Amino acid sequence: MKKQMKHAVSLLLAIILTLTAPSWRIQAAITPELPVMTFTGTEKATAVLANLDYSDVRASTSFAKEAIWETGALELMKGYASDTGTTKRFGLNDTLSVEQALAVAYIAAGREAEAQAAAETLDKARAADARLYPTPKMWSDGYIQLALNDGLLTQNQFADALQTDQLALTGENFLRKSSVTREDFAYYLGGVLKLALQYPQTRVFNSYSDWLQADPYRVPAIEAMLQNRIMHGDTSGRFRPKGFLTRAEAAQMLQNAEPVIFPLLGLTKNKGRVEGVDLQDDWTAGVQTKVRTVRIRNSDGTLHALILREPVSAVMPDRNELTGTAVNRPRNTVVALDGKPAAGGVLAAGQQIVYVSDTNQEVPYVQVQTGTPKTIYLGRVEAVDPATRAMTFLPYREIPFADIRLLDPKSIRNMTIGTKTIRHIVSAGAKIFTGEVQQMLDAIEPETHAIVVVEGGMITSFEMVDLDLLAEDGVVAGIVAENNASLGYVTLYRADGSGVSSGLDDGFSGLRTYSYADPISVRRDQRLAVPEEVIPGDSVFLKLDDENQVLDMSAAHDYTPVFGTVLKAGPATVMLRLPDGKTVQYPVPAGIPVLRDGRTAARSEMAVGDNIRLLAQINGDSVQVAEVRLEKMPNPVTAVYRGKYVWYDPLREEVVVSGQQQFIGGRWEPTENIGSVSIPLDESFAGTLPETGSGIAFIAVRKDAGGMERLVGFVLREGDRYDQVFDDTVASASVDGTRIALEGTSATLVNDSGTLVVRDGKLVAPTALSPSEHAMLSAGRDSATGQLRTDVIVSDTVNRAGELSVYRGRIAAVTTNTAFTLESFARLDGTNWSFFNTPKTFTTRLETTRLLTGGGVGNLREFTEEAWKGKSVYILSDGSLSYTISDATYGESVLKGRLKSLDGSIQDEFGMTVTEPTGLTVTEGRRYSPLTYQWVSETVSPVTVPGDAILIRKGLQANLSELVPGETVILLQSQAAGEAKVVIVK
Amino acid sequence: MRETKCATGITVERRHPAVFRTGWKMLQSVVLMILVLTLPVQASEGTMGYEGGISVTDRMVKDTYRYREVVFVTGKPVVLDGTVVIKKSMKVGLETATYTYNLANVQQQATLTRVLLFDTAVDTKNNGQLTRSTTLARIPTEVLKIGSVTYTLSSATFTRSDLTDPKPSIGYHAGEFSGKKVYRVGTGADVPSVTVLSSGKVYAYDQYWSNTQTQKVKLQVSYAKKGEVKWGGTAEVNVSASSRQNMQYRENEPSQISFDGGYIRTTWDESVLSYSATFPEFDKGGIATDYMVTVSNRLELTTEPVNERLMVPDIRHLKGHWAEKAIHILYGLEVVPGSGEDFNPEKFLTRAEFVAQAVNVFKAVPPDPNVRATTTAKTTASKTGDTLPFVDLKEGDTYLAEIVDASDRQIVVGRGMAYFRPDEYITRAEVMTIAIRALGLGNLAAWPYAVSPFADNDKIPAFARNAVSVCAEIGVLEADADGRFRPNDFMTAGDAAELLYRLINYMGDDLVTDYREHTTQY
Repeated sequence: MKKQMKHAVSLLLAIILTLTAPSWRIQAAITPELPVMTFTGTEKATAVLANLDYSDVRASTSFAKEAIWETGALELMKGYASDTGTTKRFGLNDTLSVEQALAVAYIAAGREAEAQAAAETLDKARAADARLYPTPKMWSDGYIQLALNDGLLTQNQFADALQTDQLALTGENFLRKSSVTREDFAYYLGGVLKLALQYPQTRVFNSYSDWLQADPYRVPAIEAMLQNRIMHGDTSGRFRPKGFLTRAEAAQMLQNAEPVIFPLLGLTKNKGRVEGVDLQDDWTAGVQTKVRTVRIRNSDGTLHALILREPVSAVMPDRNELTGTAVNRPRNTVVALDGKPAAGGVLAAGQQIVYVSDTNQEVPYVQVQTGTPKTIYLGRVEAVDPATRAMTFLPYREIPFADIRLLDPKSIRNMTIGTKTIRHIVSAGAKIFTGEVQQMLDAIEPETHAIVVVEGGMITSFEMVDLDLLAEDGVVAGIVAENNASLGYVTLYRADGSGVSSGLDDGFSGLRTYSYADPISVRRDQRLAVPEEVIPGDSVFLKLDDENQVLDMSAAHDYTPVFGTVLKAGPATVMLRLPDGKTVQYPVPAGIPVLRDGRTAARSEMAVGDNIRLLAQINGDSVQVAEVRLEKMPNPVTAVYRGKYVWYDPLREEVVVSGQQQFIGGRWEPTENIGSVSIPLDESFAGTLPETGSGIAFIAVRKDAGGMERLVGFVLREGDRYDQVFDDTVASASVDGTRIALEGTSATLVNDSGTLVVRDGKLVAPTALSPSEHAMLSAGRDSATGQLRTDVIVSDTVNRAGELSVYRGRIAAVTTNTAFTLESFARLDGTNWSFFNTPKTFTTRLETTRLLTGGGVGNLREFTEEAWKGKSVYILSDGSLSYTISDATYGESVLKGRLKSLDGSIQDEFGMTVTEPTGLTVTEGRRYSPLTYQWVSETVSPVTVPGDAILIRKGLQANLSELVPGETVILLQSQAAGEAKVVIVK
Repeated sequence: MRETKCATGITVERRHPAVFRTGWKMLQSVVLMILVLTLPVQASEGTMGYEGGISVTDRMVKDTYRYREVVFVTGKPVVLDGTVVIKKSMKVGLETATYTYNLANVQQQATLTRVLLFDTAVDTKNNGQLTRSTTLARIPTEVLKIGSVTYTLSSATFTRSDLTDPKPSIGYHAGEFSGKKVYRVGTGADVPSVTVLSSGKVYAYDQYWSNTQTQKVKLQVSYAKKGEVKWGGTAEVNVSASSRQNMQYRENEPSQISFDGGYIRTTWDESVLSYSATFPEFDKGGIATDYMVTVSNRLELTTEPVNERLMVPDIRHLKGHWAEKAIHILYGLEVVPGSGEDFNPEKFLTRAEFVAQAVNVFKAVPPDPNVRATTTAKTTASKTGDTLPFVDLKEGDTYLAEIVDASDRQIVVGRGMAYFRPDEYITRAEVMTIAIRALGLGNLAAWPYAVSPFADNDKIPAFARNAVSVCAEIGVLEADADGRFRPNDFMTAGDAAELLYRLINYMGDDLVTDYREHTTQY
């Protein structure tokens, strides 16, 4: 009865305990505080502990003891049985072999299972009698297979490693049992842990005196190991790349590599202080288990609990699998205390501990800290005084470990920053890092963020940190390599600008690709946009959600200006010649804005020979043009000359010709320069000129800013030839630009590379000419081939002769500043007036309509009905929009001729007109006689052109000073010797 | 003798033997004199004034410039030509300047006299940039007579602000200014007034091989008289002034002469003014109509070029080499020391050798010639041996002075841990980094890191990637036949010569085009 009662009570208690175990309260606490995190021991701990009883480590004083316990507890490196088989040894001072090195690396990377699978596959592939299963030898083959897969071993090395008869291999082969060198270990470990390899600019490694001894192919890995502080040099400044590693050193390296390895294994390192240990008895299933609850105050202030279960009876009870009763398994942990591994029972209140937890909330390893307590702060440097070595530091918070990679970013992000600074002396032996390389105290700048370790009141370690941990998670930035909006992904280059080629030699990182589904919010250049507008070369920030899908995209362009001369302007592309002579073709689709002088221009205004500026984003092969700007004030070719070539003076950079003639109006006319004339070269002229030569030089010039003519085009032809000139329309021009045919002549003209072609004032290639253009040519017979070879072609496509018309009529009504009406009007067609007996209305506009009256300019505001009704006026208009209204008297006598000179103008020394010309002189004059219907030639004396005369030049209204001698003019005078009323230049 | 701290934190005293010191000082002063006499006279920012005029130095008279300006107060552009005298003095943080103009146009019977006094506060920021802000110290005087009409300045305001970003071998400036001037037309009460509002942007750079300043000025002119018609017009004036040089080859004619030809360096100043003015047309009575007339034109001022023959190296063994011209010029400019017979273009350059050449290409920015400092200027010659910035340099090393100079000016920073590694070969990536650092053009690269146009972009070390992209963008660097840059190959002497020559052309020509034409013509 009593026994039954006891059983019942214990059962009840057990039930209560088991039911309430997860949330049981800590008794004897003053205020019941719930632990924020609860950990348990591991099931394997007891076995691991037994295996950790290394005979060689126990007695040794090696610095790596702690590392050995830790790597053992975490099962990264295991020992083996001693020769006698009874004790275990670690093999502290044994050198690490190559196969062991690979094994260590892969286990540390958490790929043990993968290796075992590979090993099994390898073994199954062997012949039945060659199989190694289940010896340890088989398992180590798995790591070698993985190493081959990852590119760490070559095929030859792999073949050597799998040779059954290892003793037959020589020093030339790959010996898997040989000791691994430090550089090779760095290579394997670095490769397996995927540590970024720095090509090859080493910053840390070449400060070691023996760095040249290392195999250059291993140098990047060694650099990575050094920068990650996994490997170090010895005290004499040597790295010893060809030296061997002991297993103790390997264990220490694994401990150094914690920040890299722990995330791969799913482990977290925590620090805290044991507040107390509670013992309870658990009588589940009739077996007594001691439950040890260790209360730990974590360094972030929260309470953690570690629950260890130790069965009192040494033997676990058998279990009836049919009934499925709960089983008591021991859960313990390995504790390193005073350099010895022990079970969890040694934990006691007051101990400072570091404990490693895994994703199952189990703690395989705890280390009790001894020695002077260290305080580690994350904060900001306020001031450093190199003379006194004092540093004033503003700590943001105290952190458990001095390595930023071991900290939880979320907790860093959510901390509150204090305002109290601390001041300590930096010890002389302190390790100071402002980058990968150790520095002196004066390298520390104020306002940098850093982790400092304070020990015994002095700062013993300083490491600058990049606090993008304080930055938002899930935001990536980079340059767009590709954006495919229809498939919904964007690929960035890597942060350091690499990622153009992805290949085996690229290491283990690839381009970064993120996908997105519509709709996402996109901004480009601070404006709302759509994903299609983000183009390669843009700098972009992507906001990602938990699954690395893009939520938000914000981009900025990276346009660069491209300057060039248009060679071909198509509807969707433009071919340019760049200033350095290269030719490129860029896509310029129809919608791209074309601007001139800040105003929108028509796409058709971009012509061959124009200088333009493109704003383009060029990223590899992709070119995106955003804008085209035409040159504001292009300086055109102003004249074409020919003359007898005298010389070229390279010192003064001038060409001298004699007997200069100008090609004007389709004819060669002598200029005002008599004898020899020097023409300086323009800066843009890139050709070479012979210092001496004979023949006729054809020269195209443009006026520079000082008004001086400078040579921009040149060709030298043999002398003593008869030049033929043509003033005609282009009938056809061959595609390659070598032949040209004119409408008015049957002669075929041949162009060659020397032909000067001036089209609308721009020097172009002959291929720019197209049919129906008006062209004036000068050609000479080539003595070698007998063909008519062109020397100069001047063409102008601007032919607005039809746009403006001259009318005359009597004013019937005027609405000031708006319009006026003529009762009947006459229109000048060619040289005749056609009369129309109907009214016509013209509109006037203040800014564009000129009123000429009384021999000069008048004011349109005074153009009122009262003042002007009944007067006869000339009107120069485009349709019904009037440009000029003049009250000059009627003129119907028509005179045609060639302009010889403009008279009466006064210019200042800078070429600016002080007084406009008052008249002009015409040669080869012919007057139309209405009596005989014939043109009668006449010698003409100078004609006065008063201020109220109407002037048209090339279809636009003009000022008298714009006329160029040599042009054909038509004058309307009232009688033979009178003033000109209308002057027209075609 | 100076006490200085080496990079390792150890304090060191350096002393030369006495003989060496006096001899060195003499040499310094001689060299300085030679440099002053042969240097082309520089035009630096502000020598054109802020009235929209252009100037070139007058070599005969100190502080005087030949000057040309277009005035629009009459409603028509009138060009005036003459001189401007600029005197500046500098005290700590404050620069005072006086601009005295004397201009005339004989045919138009126009004369202009003007005196402006500016006070400029100069502030140096932590990152080395200088900001300047200018105001008028007192009301300026200006009298303009055109024909029979006299325009007298009755009130004026002016402000200017600019930023100077000093890089190791180029100083870049950008700024703006705005002003308002009111003139009284004629004398007496109730006279009409003409107001000229100006706002301008200034871009300039100063360096040894060329300097350019460009201004884009917008002017608004308005005329008002009580009871009469008021008219207004606008003008856009773009001015730019450059000091430039170029190098041309002259072959010698006699065949029996010891050298077959050499380069001549030509230096000259030029200024270009282009304007476009839109004003109402005036009728025959001189009254403004509503019809707007646009007049555009260009003016220029240049100085006579000064020619200097460059040293002729003996590089017969390189005849036909693709870098022959570059090597010849670099020897002539004494960028590469020596006389040429031992030049092996395929040899790799050590870091010290390259830095020694680079220092002669990336020379320090010449100081403003108009400024007479009231505090004694520090001697510019560096005393070698006082500060050794790298632990692996010591007295007596070849090119020590050049390395120290380069380090002082922050053109080189070494390979880490205070090591310079002078005898190691320099890689191509490092060369580009040094060049872009000296030119200060790192900001042209895209953020965060530019992607260069070469096929082996990924092999370029991260620290050099921006510099390589910028070098490709400014046109001094091209890919080889495979589209590669080969960043980690060592730089050969021939490649370095070609690159330095292109950089000299960039600094001497391309920058001028960029500041002059590209900013104003589009």
